[in-house]
Amino acid sequence: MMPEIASLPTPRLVLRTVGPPDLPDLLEVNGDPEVTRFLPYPAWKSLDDGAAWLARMEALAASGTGRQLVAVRAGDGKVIGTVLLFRFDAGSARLELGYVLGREHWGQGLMREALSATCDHAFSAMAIRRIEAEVDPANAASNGLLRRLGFTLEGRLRQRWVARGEAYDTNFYGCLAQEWRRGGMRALATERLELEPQAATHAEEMFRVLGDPAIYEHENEPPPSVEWLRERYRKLESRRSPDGSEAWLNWVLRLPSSGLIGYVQATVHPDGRASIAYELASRFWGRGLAQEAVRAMIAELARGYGVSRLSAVLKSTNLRSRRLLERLGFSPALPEEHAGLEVGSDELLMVREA
Amino acid sequence: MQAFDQLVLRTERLILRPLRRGDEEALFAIYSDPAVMRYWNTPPWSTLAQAESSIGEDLAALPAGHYLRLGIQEAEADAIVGTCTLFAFHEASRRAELGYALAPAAHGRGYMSEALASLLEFAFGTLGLNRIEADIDPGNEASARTLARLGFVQEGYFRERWIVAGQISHSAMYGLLRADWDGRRAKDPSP
Repeated sequence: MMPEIASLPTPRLVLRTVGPPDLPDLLEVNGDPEVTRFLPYPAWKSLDDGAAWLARMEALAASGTGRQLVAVRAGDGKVIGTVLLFRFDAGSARLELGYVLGREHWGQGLMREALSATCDHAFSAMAIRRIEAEVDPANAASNGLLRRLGFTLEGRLRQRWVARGEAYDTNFYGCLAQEWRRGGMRALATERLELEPQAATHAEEMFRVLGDPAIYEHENEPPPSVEWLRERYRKLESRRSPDGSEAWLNWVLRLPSSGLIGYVQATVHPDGRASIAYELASRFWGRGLAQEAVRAMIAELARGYGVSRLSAVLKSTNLRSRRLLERLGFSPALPEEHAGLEVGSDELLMVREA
Repeated sequence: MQAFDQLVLRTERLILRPLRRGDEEALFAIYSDPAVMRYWNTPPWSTLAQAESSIGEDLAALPAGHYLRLGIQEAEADAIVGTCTLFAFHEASRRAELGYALAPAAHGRGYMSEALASLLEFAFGTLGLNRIEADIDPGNEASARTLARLGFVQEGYFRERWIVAGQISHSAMYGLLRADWDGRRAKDPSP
C-alpha cells in the first residue's frame, strides 16, 4: 500500500492530496485543450468531468497504487497544477510520475520545483529506487524538464497510446535513486581529463587550485578560506538555484597525473539556455585542457539537460578566454541577445547553439 | 473486454485453453522450476497452494475479461506444458502486454512461437488490438529470440526496473504493432 503524503512545501508551492474543493481551480487547468493536448483524457468541459476524474483518482488511492497531488500556489492558495504518483510497486521500490500545469504558469520553473520536491520525497521518505515517466516525443517542454531533472531517456515505445483517434509514440524516462542524489549529474571523461560532479569533499584540494593569483587577472578573487569554500560547495550539491528554477552544475577537473586542476560550470535556465564558465590553474594553460573540458560539458548539457543555446560573459580584456570560446564555435552576441542578461560595459557576451 | 473463459485456440500441434481445476500439479511443475522462473518477476513457487489460488484467480478473471491466460498443451496430451498470457489491457489504446512460460521438457520444438503466433492472431484479429508489448530480462536470450521471430522490435532498455528476491534486474522492452503483424502475414500466410 502506497504511503500517505501529507504535504510537500517548495519555495513557491505546496503539494498536497487532491480534494473536491480543488475542482473549480482544476477546471481552469484541465479545461484548456492546450494543457490536455498530451494527456490521455480530453479537456474538461464542466465540473462533472472533474468529478468523474476525481472519482478515478480516489479509486486509485484506495487501490494503494497511486496518489494524486495538487500544486497549490503558496501566496494565495490557488491550485495551478497536479502531480500524480502511480503504478507504485512496493516490491521493486518503483513508481511513475505524471504532471499537469496550467498554461499561464508555464516557463517559470514551477513544475520543475514541484517534481524536484516530489522526487526528493519519493527517493528519501518513501525509499523509492526508480521513478519512471512517459512523455509524448512532441512535447518539447516536458522532455526538456525531465532531462534537466536528471532523468534518462530509456526508449521510445511505438504507438503506445491512442487518443482522439490517433496513435502516439511515448518517450520513456527513468531516474534511479543514486542518480538523483548526485543531482542527476554524471561524471564525464575526456581523452585526458575526468570531470567529477563537484562536492564539498573537493573543497580542500580546490582551495589550493583557486589560490592561483594568475586566474584573477581579469576578475573575481580567491575564496577566503577552506571552510567558506566547503560550505559553498555543500550548498551547490543541491545542483539548483535557491528557487529551484535553474540547474547549477559544477564539475571539477581532474588530470589523473596531477590531481584537481580547475572546474567548469553551467547555469541551465528553464527555457533551455545555459550560461557557462570555467577556471583552470595557470600552470596547465596552453595545452587545450580547458577546451577539452568545456567541450565535454557542452555535449553533456545538450544530451542530458535539453540545452539548446549557450552563452558566456567575459571581460573584454580577457583575450585568452575569448580565443578559447572562439575555438569552441562561440561568437559575439547581437545586441538583441543581451536581453535579460547582465553584461557590463567592459564585458563581452559570446554565444553559440548547443 | 469480452469473456475469455470459453476460448480455445488450436494450432498444428497445440491446444491453448483456459486453466481448470485439475491443472494444479502441471502448473506447479512449471512455475516452481527455477530454470523457468529465472527471469520471472516473482520467485519460483514453493507450494501447490500457489497453483490452486492462481487457477482460482483465472476462473474469476477470464469470464470478466480482466486478462487472458491460456494453458498450452500438446494436441494428443492432457497436461499443460506452458502458459501464455495477455494482460494489462488498455482498451482506449487497444494495447496489452504479453507473458509466457514453457516447461524445459517442451523446449527446442518451437512450441512457444507456435502458441504465441496463434495468440497474437487472436489479439490483433478478434480483439482488434493495435500494440502488444513485452518486458523481458535482457539476459533471457531464448525469450528474445522468440520475440524476434514473431516480429517484435526492442524499443527500450529500462534500468533496474525489478527487484525479485533481493536481486535487481533490468528490462528489455519489446513492442509489436498490428501493422507489423499484418505485413508479415501478407508475406507469409502460414507462420
